[in-house]
Amino acid sequence: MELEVSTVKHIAHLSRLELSDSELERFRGQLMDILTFVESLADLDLESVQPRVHAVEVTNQFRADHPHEPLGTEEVLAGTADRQGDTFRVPVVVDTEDVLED
Amino acid sequence: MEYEVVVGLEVHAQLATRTKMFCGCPVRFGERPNSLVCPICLGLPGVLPVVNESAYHMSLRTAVALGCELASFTKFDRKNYYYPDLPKNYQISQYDLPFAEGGSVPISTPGGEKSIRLVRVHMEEDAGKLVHTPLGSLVDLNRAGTPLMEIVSEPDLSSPEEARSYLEELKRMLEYLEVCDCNMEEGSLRCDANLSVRPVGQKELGVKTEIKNMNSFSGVEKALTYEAGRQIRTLVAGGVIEQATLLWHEDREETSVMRTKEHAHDYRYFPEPDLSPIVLDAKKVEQIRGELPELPRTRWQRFQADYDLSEYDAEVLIRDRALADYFEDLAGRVGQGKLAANWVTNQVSAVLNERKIPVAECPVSSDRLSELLLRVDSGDLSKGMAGKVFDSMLGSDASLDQLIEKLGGGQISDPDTLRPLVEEVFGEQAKIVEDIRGGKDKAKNALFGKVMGKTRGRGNPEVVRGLIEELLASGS
Repeated sequence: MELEVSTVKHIAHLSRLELSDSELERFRGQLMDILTFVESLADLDLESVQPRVHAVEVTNQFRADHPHEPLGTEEVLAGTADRQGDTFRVPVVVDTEDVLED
Repeated sequence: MEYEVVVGLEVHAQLATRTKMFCGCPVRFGERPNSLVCPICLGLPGVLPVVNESAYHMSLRTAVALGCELASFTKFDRKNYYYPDLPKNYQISQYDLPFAEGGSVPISTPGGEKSIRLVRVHMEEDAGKLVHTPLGSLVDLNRAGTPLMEIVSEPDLSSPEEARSYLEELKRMLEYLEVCDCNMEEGSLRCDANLSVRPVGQKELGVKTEIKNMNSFSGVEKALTYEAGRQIRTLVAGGVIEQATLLWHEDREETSVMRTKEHAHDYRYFPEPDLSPIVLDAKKVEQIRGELPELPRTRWQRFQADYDLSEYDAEVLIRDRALADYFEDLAGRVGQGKLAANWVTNQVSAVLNERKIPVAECPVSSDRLSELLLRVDSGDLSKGMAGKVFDSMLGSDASLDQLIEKLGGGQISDPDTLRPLVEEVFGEQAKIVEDIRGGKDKAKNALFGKVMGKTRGRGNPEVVRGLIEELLASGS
């Protein structure tokens, strides 16, 4: 199945990945292979098969609303590379300062 | 050209469960950051989320009360997006098979009752909290995984005022149903709006903008008023409305554009493989239906009919379910709805507001207040005296009789006790009596004042006036 470079770029952007031109080309090939493989399902006769949303037949699995012990702040933050106080710190991701002009 | 406003609201209500939607981490506000987190809500590899049964039942309860059609089969989906407020890089939500569709919320408008139709109600998990600083965004995941219900209305609202009425009605319903504490400051009730304008008479909808970050009911009304004004001015000036997501800034009272907005297909929804689907249990639904409380609007209408209350008084009373219960108990004991309503909306509400306490902590129980009101109703206590007794009840557990005694006694309504005092005044004020008989009707007030003075203000005014007339007529 054919895939445009622009589509690969878009998918990379949705995952917040910056790819070089050679990477784009490499992943385009790999993605096409995957899609072609999945496309082979179209060869099957699925006329009589109902669509389903899950691989297993199990339904209605619930848990009671009872609290468990959380990990605790120190353990939660133990593996992070960048921490400020009790929070994770990540690069600023949103800019909301552009006031809409009338 | 005249324009009309078209608004649809998306309300996120935090379900009043003890734990999160898919794990047992406690749901609490204002705790140490990242202290209510476990491998499941952190999205660590190999974990298995499981649906909180209470969250599902609360959602069902809400949908039944809203008159939604319940799906016989429902499932969860992954909404994929990369943003640090959710560590999994997807949010568990419901996409094409929400558990409830349709339904409506009735609101009051100047033109009468209006039914606001709902598109759907679905369950999802909340994201974590981000604080943006110049040096980076700070992530607290305590809120990540908190159970939410998203209630989406049709664009049936025609003004910012209607949007506010809708929110108020919905909030009351959720409170009566005990499925959400509706604390907007703590974010347990949040609202996004879609707004467009169109020339009056035009069928097709205009281009809409989505407005986020409105943190109060008055904020919603203000933000929508602002945005409607902006859109109309833009169109009148010959401009076009661009589809955008806007952030409302309460402090500056204006909106700003959020930089990017992904399209629905960019979320690449797919069925959540870690959660099993849910098949509707008809018996459970019937049980929930049977256990529904009287809803606020029904109660509002019943209060007007049963207790002869004005729309306004009935509304003040039903706003808070506990206050409405207090009122009904009181009205039942006193047998006088109007009197009970006056006291609850005035004296009782004043105390609750002043002390910022819930009805359950009111220092004067409905039982105790009913004793007082029965004396008012029978004429044993004047309104003024009753007010004083009520004030002293706030700080004392003494019996009603003791309190009245301490304040100088109750109202005197017995004509046999009052008659000698009136006769005394007639004797002392012969000149005034003569004036009155000579046609100076106004002088009656002077006589009345003298008699009331002798009773130290405790004489029943009606009885005293009656006795004065009686004696004047008898010519003695």
